[in-house]
Amino acid sequence: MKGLKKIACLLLAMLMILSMAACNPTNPTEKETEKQTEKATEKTDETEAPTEYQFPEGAEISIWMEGINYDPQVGISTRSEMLCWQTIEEMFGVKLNFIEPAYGTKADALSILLASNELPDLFYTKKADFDAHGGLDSLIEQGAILDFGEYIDEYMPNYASYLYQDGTFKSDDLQRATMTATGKIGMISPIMKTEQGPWLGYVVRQDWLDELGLEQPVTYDDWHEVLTAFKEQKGATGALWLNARGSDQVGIFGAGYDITGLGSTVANAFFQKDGKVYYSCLEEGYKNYIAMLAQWYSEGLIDPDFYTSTLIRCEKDMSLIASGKVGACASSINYFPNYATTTGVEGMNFQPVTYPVLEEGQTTHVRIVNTIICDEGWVISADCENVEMVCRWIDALWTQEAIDVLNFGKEGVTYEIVNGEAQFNDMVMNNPDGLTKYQARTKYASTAGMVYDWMRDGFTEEVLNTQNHLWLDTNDGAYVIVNKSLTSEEGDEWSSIMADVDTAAVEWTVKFITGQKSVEDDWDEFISIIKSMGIERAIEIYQAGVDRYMTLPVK
Amino acid sequence: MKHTKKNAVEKFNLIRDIKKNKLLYLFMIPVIVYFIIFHYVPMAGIVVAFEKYFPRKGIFGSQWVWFKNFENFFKGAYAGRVIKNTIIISVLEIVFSFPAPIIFALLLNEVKNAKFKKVVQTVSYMPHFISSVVFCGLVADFCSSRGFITDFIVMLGGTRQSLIGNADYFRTIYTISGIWQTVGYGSIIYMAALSGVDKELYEAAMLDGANRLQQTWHVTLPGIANTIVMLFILRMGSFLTVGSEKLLLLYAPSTYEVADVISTYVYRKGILDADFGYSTAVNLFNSVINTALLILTNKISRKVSDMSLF
Amino acid sequence: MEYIKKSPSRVIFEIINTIFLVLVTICFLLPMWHVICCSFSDPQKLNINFGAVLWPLGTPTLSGYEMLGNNTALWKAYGNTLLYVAAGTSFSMILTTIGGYCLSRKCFGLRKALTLFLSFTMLFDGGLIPTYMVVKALGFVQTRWAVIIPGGVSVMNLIIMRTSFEQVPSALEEAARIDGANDFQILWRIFLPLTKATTAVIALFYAVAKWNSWFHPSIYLSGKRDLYPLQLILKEVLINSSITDMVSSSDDFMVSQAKILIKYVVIVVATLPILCIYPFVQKYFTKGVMIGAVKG
Repeated sequence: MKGLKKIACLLLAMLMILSMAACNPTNPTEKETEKQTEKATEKTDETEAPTEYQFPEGAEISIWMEGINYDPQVGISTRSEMLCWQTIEEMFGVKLNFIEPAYGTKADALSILLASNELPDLFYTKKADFDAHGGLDSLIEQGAILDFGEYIDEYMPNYASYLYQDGTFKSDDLQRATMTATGKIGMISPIMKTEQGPWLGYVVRQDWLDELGLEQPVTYDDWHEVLTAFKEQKGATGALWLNARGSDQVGIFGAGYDITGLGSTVANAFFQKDGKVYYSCLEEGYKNYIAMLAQWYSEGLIDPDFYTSTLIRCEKDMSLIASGKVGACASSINYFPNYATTTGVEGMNFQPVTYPVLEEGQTTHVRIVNTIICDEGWVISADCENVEMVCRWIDALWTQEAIDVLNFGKEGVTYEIVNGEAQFNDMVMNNPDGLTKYQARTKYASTAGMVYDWMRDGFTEEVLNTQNHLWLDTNDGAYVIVNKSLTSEEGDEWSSIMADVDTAAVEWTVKFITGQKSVEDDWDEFISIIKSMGIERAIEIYQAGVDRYMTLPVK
Repeated sequence: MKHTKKNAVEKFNLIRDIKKNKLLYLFMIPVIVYFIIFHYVPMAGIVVAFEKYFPRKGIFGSQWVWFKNFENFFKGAYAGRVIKNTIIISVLEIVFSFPAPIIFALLLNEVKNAKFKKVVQTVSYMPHFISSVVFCGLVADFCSSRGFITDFIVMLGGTRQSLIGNADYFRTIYTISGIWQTVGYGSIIYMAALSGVDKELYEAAMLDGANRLQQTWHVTLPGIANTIVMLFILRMGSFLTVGSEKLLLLYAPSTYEVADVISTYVYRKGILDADFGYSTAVNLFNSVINTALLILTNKISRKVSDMSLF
Repeated sequence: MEYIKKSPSRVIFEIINTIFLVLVTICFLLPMWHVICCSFSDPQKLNINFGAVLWPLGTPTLSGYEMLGNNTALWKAYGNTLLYVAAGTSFSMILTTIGGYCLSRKCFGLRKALTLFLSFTMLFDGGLIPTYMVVKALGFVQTRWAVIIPGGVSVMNLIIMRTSFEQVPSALEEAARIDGANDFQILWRIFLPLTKATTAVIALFYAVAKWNSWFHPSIYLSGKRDLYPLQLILKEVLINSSITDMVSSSDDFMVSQAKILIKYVVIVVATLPILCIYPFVQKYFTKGVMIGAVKG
């Protein structure tokens, strides 16, 4: 027994020492003084040499980005093999060390990385990825990442000229979209070259419609008729494809009921009417919408396995569409024009239709809103040793040459300048190795240049018309909450309430649709459950965030 | 035996013991160091269960909230459900999955044809070599509304529906597929134990006129009882630790009601929602219950069969 | 035993037992067969197919294997996995054997305390993140050591080892001690040969666990593709985009037609080798168990 006690004492002592060594954060004051001296030296540098900044010899930047969704035909497994990044490395003489967690594991990887306290210089990822960690504001406050605000004027003239001058977009709008609740800039996101309209909408199999002599569906009743015909005469066992949340990427299908569906993220079910925030599940329209889906499900019009899918859109895995079980689904303008060639199914022809409504002529209010900046971007960590160099490097990406490289690859290899504008050449558009233009593009070019040229794929007039008219004219997008600014405490509280509410909402929605629960009898129970979880408080917080967003101070 | 041990403990003198067992102590050093570094040092991390923990602020910089995290868990909407599900799934595993390899090993042991035995054995290990990602993908595929297991059930007169997405069947599928994956591999240890049973004992039993069933009961089972009891005690020590990996890959919102367990909840809260303090608290609760169960089973086993882990 | 005539009930039992085991074997084989057939199928037809595939769809083709053959990352990962399995298993076996041996010694004073000390770690763990921080403090992160050393010793295996050592008759040990053998010699010359079966089983446990592990490598090697084991590459190919993966721009990757085919091909390539090794190890299992014979 004595021995045991001795061991226990020894252990405790070791524990204390080791845990202190392992967990003690770096002394803040020490770090600050370090930074100050760093700044001081930087300043003297500038006065001595006001000429163009030179990247130091042998400079390296570590960048955290989610790994590539590996495609064996493309054969590229890391960004250091991508032509555009290789070109960027050559251009500035800065070596890039990509840290790429395997595709599909970025949430886990980011959690562990942030928890481990040793961060790379830069992150490039979705803004929403930081929500679980309290958001950018909270991370700045915790001292994990830095506020770009103070560096933009000093080190980033190119970016400043985009952000602080009215160009394609108004500077005020850009600034608001970039800022956090407390007016900091935690992320530098690509700006769209031109505004992009709603790129997501519903498509149906026109070849079947033609064969069956049916019109394109407009109202929910039309949809019912069309889906029934698809099921009975074309053998489509999952005529309508829904995601596992009984919805589509942003909840468009329910828009005719004056609500949004659950979409694909927690925030999708929130919408606003004249500045007032609502949560869909609490609204009568949602109940009616789900009752309709339940009816359709029982008739076999919806994919019977919809709730087990892990896809955000069914086109992310073409096997379902290729199988001929799907007659209608939500699609992106990048995808549906290529269904026939990708699947190799002859005669397959998906055509876009307007968003379903209750009555003809009704205007809907939920869609993908016009995008001015991407919801992803650069975040600089507090562990970055040479802040100036890294900021200068990001700024260098905002020069026209770098913008072209990121959007298009390498001049003369994958793109040419025609009339002053970059354009993909045949290396991408007619790839000699037989890759489709999307595969070729992912091989050579980045997902987004700093000024993101979403038109680079060369859409046909017809497809652009879909986006700019068909999916725009009958939908004003007025209910969509474009942006909100939550303080870190609000963000924490909101995400912890919504973690529970969202789980319940999805679970009950699926049960209602599949008939495991009755919309008639059990709806009130569902509402009382999410109310007991604090949904009303979550709405309040959201309201505050939406109100604050419009009052953000801009330069 | 017990009595002498007790005396030994009372007289225990570390210095004398070290002198006596120099080499044993030397042997143990790397093992102890290993466990201290990789298990005990990280255990200090448990204190974040009592904090509102922010990694950047560190353990000492974060705010102490004491039992708030536990309170939130037990008052929260899901505590009852995840605890209930964990217990049910665990009991199912102990009742069905635990004995399956024993029975399989016994049946295999009865096979006389060495070639057939080897083939069956080899084939039965195969599923274990499939990683869980692939395995769960196959299960979901076969049990979807178009999967061939569903085809089979429709043939028998059932209705066509997704089996894996149906809360009524989820646990059955989970348990059966679990047995499928582990039965062969799990039987290795019992086969090894069986091959260690003294052949002379069988011959003696046969001379006494015992038939095969009696031989199994009186010779084979006692021969491997040690192994069974030991594995059972260990299994009880992870009673509330239902494998989250498989569940995470198989469950869907429609089956949360029966499939959401403590470990999946901890994963969602800790990694996906980055609520480190809270998830550590839930995990700690899990560990405490496991410990209690392990100690209890160990005690019972010591009383009943005179075998124990420690 | 042949000289005893089989009773009718015995015959019936043997028939039923055989039939049962045949059925079980089919259950084990069918899904594997499905995977193998899929891996030789026509990618277009495979995309459309649902349900079991009992013969390659369309004209059997090697196109999937050809596509994979060009992938150097895969072969590199193969090499890594072999290294991790060899080094990791050796490391684990050394600690497990000496640990099991010490704890099986009745004369060892700290035996009980140390068993408790080890067992405790099965119940309480600091969790992923504190462990990660320790591994990082040791400088193992993004090196091969991170895959080989952490998680190297399973208390469960150590206890199985201990139990099997305890069953070695003490007479043998005493005899050796009288001959002047020390603990190391006793372990090496007497205990290990006598518990060959258990040792082999446990080595296999470790090896298979290392072969299949992906979660820890994915955390410790995050981004170091040169060091990735096979399972990580496998996982990359198998996992589709998840539903939480919101994209705002319409720009992301179009999944290629051959993805499903590749999935099956990779499963075959990653699983077959360890299945082939098994029968050789198995032969060894059925041999060396001699514990019972010592008594005579």
